[in-house]
Amino acid sequence: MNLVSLITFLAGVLYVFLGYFGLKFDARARLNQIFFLLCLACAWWAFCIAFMFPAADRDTAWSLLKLSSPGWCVGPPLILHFTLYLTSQKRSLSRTLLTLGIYMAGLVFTAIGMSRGLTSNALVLKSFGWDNLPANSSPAYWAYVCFYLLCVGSSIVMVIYWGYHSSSKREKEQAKILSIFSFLGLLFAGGSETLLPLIGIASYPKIPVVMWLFWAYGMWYAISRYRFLILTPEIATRAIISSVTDMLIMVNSHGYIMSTNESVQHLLGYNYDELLNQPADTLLQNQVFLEGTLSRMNSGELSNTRLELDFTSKGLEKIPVMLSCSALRDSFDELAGVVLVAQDLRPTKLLEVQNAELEAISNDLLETNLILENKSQQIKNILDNVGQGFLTFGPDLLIDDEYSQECRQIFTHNPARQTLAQVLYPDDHDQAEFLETIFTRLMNLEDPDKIDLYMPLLPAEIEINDRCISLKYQIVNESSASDSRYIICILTDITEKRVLEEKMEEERTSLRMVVKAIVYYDTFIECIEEFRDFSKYKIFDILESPGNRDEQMAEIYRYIHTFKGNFSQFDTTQVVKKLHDAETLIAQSRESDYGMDVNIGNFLKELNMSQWLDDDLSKISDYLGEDFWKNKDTFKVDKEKLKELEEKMVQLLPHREYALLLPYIRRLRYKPFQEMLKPYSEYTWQLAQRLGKSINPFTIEGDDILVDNEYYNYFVRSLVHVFRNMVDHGIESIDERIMLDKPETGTIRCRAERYNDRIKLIISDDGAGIDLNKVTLKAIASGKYTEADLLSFSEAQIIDLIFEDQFTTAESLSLISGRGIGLAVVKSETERINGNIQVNSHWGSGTEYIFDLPLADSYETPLFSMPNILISIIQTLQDFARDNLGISLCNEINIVSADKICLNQYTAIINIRGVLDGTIVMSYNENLIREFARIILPDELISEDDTEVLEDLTAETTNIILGNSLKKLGEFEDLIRIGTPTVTANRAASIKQSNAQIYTCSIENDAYIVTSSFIPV
Amino acid sequence: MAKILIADDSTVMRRSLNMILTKGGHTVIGQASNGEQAYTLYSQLKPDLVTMDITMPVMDGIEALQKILAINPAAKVIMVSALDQKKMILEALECGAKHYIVKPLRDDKVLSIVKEVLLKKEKIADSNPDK
Repeated sequence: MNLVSLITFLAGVLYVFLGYFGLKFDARARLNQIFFLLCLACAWWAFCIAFMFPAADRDTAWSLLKLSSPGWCVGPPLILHFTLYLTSQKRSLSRTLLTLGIYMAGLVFTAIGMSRGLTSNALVLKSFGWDNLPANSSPAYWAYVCFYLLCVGSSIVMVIYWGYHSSSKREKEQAKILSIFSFLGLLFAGGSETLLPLIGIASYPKIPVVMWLFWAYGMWYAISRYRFLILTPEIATRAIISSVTDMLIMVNSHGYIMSTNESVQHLLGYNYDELLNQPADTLLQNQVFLEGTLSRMNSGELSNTRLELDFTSKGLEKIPVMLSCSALRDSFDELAGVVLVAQDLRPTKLLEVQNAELEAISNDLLETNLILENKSQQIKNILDNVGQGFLTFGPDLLIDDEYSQECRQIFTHNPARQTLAQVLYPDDHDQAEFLETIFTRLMNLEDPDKIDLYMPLLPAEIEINDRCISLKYQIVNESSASDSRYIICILTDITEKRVLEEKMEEERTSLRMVVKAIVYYDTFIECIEEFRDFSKYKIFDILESPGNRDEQMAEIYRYIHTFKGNFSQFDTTQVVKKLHDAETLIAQSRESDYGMDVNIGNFLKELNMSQWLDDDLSKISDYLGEDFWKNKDTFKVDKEKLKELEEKMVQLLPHREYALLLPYIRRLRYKPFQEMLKPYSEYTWQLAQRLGKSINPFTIEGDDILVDNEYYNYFVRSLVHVFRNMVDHGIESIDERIMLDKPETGTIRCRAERYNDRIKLIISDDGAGIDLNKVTLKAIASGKYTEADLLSFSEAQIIDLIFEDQFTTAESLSLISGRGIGLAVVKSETERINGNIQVNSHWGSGTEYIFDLPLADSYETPLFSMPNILISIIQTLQDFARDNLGISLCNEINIVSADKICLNQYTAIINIRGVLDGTIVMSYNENLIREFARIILPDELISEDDTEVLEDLTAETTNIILGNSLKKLGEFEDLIRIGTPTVTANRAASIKQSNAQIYTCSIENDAYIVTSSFIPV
Repeated sequence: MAKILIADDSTVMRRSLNMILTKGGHTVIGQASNGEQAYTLYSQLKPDLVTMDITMPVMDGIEALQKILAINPAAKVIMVSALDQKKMILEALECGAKHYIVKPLRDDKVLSIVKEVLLKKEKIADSNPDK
């Protein structure tokens, strides 16, 4: 083997190598396949030639030369095919046909070459071995040269053309390399093989196959340098890896980082080198994740996983990522590594957060909207159900559609889109116009004072559809602009209130009439009689009397006028009204021409004047009973009826009025107090007789005190025990008295007198007096007291023992006394009517019982209603203090009447009106107000001298107490109106009222005191 | 305190107004019993303020008001009216009356209205509402 042969052989090896690597880039790419085939063809050619040169004999060399022909015959078509494929990726029929044609030609040349040689016709042995001589005389030879030039030349042209027209820099570069190398290849191969021998230079070995290496190298260079062989998945992968924004990390099977892409470096702040061969868990910082994943991937149990976790950057910043791990397996199905693809979730997270925020906002909005809708619905519901009409209108004065349901009831039609003026005065154009003018002004006026000027001109009350409606107006400015002003009109149906008021007024008038009928009974009856006489007889007498009609009418007129005046004094409203009408009628008829009409007489007859009084009188009968009218000089009224009348007066009439009238009515029912005691005179005398004692019958001394007897009934009855005691134990027997040098006949005295507003009843005897020793012994014997107890007792205290239950000094029981119950009953009865007893006893000379009793009368103010409110106020206070403050204020309610009230530190003054006219004064000490503060202002600390807050608290406390007190008054509640409290803070002051009686009551304990008072007007 | 002209056909009303205003520290510089007299007295006496009864013989309060405003658009006239004269009050206000007092007269009511009108700065725009 010589050098030439070796070179050629090595060229063959090189071709195989090139072809193999070309294919290895991407075995499936057609271009690579063509390149591979080309290299194979060249390698074949090279190997054949390599062995041809050192062949042993000519025949062997010839056969090898013939054998090499597929290489150089198929080579050019492959080059052309390659170029075609490269320059025009588009598949087309013409290209396919052309390619096929070229290959056919190549095959034909191969066949010729294989059978009898194509380019050579002889071999000569030269120093380097067998050399072929070109067969330049044979047409086949030239045909091949043409074929060869066509293929190679057109390839070069096509590549240059492609490079020239391509916009890709890479393609231009490739075209340049390719065209240069293929030109060189063509030049050297063609030149050495064909051109030089043609001009007689043939002394060198012809190795075109080696020259072709230029070409192949160019291709190879283009491939390796410029990725000539198009996109391989690897190229793509690399490109993708470097360009994706996701972080890509290749990890080997031991969990160490093999490579990372730019994103990793960019996002995590590491250099490429810093991460190499580091455990992948470095990126995860304390999240031992990969180890587990790797072992699972190793065992083949897991090939893919996807999860969310945090990467840690070099700056220790946490970056949320979506991490996908894919196991890479080699051909032995062993784990080669893991590809980690991490998607930075921060933008997503941000979006998520924003999205969540947006959602939350929209939810909020939705909710708010719902709430608002609900609210407005609720408000509408409230407005619709509140029983008042609400409507609004703006500058156009047309009522808005949103009016409350009640409006429809009031107007009986839909008022919307009409003006309020039209709706209120559908038939009164003038009035409507007047109203519209005011509304227009109110809509346009800027000056609030002017608005105040116009507002009162609006109607406050109006009658629509037989209902009495009260109207209130409110101007609302939505913004500063006056065109957004609107007026709210609130309509309240007060018909019932009016009817009620009228009824009440009617009732009041009737009551006045009834009372006056009683008070001025004589005059009233007289007046009635006169009127009956007039209406039945006199009027007709007058009409039939001589004289002209005018004079008759004048006389009748005078009578009627007088009756009207008289009856109006008695508040007999019905008859007064009828008389008034008649008066007007007569007056009119006298003025007009019709006055002289003869028919006026008939007319007056038809009026049935005699019955005019019936309504009023029957009303009086309702109150007082039919018996009232029975007697002309005296009247008779049931006691119960009188009581009812009194109660009604208290309820219905203003204080001043009933204070004036009530005494008259009361007097009818009241009896002198003394009268009740009279029977005891007879009783004691008889009792003394039975006991063989002698007493003088007593008369009751003192003034007549008119009282409500019923009030004292039980008390007076209980006095029997006192009288019995006196006769039984007090008055001695006749013998004893004679011995004691006393008058034989004992004396019992009874005296009742009025002092201040109380009754003092004194019952005394001139008997033995109370034996204190006996009382003491008895008390010890009863076991209730010890001797020591009694030693400390004063005389009065010992005497008081006789009022205790089961106490008697009688040695034996008698029918008359001695059961020890009697005096206890007296005591309890006395106390029940708020009285008290004092006993004075003088041993040997007698005993005196002094009863201090309230006067059940009070002409000026009725006892019955006034304390009611005070008692209920005090009870409310006690209940409230006990239940809410845990404070017990003394249980005894002791209302006293006085002419002044002593005030505590905080005082609220409230006026009340209605059945009770007057002023309530509630005066508390500061401690108590502070206690109330715990309930009213639970979380507030009130400083030492915060008078203002304490004053407010006083007002609030008073409101609470009074409000609750009224509820206790039952039917009175509706008849009393309470004003707002005026509060003063003061120390040790008092209110004095000279012209009215003040009722006052203090309840207190160690720390707290409250004084409630009532001052009647 | 102000110089005031009282215009009222009722002697009782004039007397009671006179008393109230004098007590309030004002000077009553003239009393008119009808509208014409009120107008004449106004032009002679130039009072700070006029109380003008609405219903008066010869010339009613509104007419007198208009005549007074014609010679002095800034004249301060307070109308005095009965309870059921709302229409008349509106008319007077439209004409340029500054205020009105509804009978029955009460000291504090009269004096506070007089004070209000006297203190009120004249606003040309408001003084004659677009008529």
